[in-house]
Amino acid sequence: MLVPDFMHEFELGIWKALFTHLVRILVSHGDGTIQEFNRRYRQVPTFGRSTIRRFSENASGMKKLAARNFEDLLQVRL
Amino acid sequence: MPVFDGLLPDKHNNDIQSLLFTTAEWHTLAKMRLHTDSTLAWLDESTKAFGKQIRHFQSYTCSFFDTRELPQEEAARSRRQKKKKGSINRPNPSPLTPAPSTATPTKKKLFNLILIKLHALGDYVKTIKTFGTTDSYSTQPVWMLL
Repeated sequence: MLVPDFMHEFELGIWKALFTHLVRILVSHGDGTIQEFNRRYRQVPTFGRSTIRRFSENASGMKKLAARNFEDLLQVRL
Repeated sequence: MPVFDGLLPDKHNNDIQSLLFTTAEWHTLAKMRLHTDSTLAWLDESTKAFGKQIRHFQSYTCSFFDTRELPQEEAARSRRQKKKKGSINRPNPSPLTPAPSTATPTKKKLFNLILIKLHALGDYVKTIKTFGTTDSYSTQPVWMLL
């Protein structure tokens, strides 16, 4: 029996795919939507010292993101 | 979900908001380090809701948008193609001269549901019952020590 690996399955698999597609939708919608989206992510404050770090880059760029960053992206939109 | 709220027309906004909520709910429940029968039942319910909503997202919401490759995906694809061509014709293309941009149109990208990772979501409850909470066998703690 295969034990599911939580980090690689959910954060780097499903959530990443869903997030990427949402960014694609926002891009195709146009009208400055993606800029507003990035602006909102930038405004998110940090939580704790290392629990959720500040999003300094554009969230839609998805550059140099590790699983922990994807996890932050997911937890922060709440 | 203030980050996504109001960015899209209302009928899609509501669907996406609930999908995102369920995603976060599922993530939190599956990540818990202590489970009881009722939290596992909750996770089960959440998995069902997530499956329903993500299928609705794929079949309904996605059909309204003409989703194309993102700039970085397009760049990666053209780099790949150039590398393929370059390896046959000239092995050492000078990195200083920018190659003429090929006017290939960006490809259409659709949301794909056929993922083994998505299929495996249904097995989490059973696995937690058999082996314990997910933090005991996730590779994340090891990876964070590196």
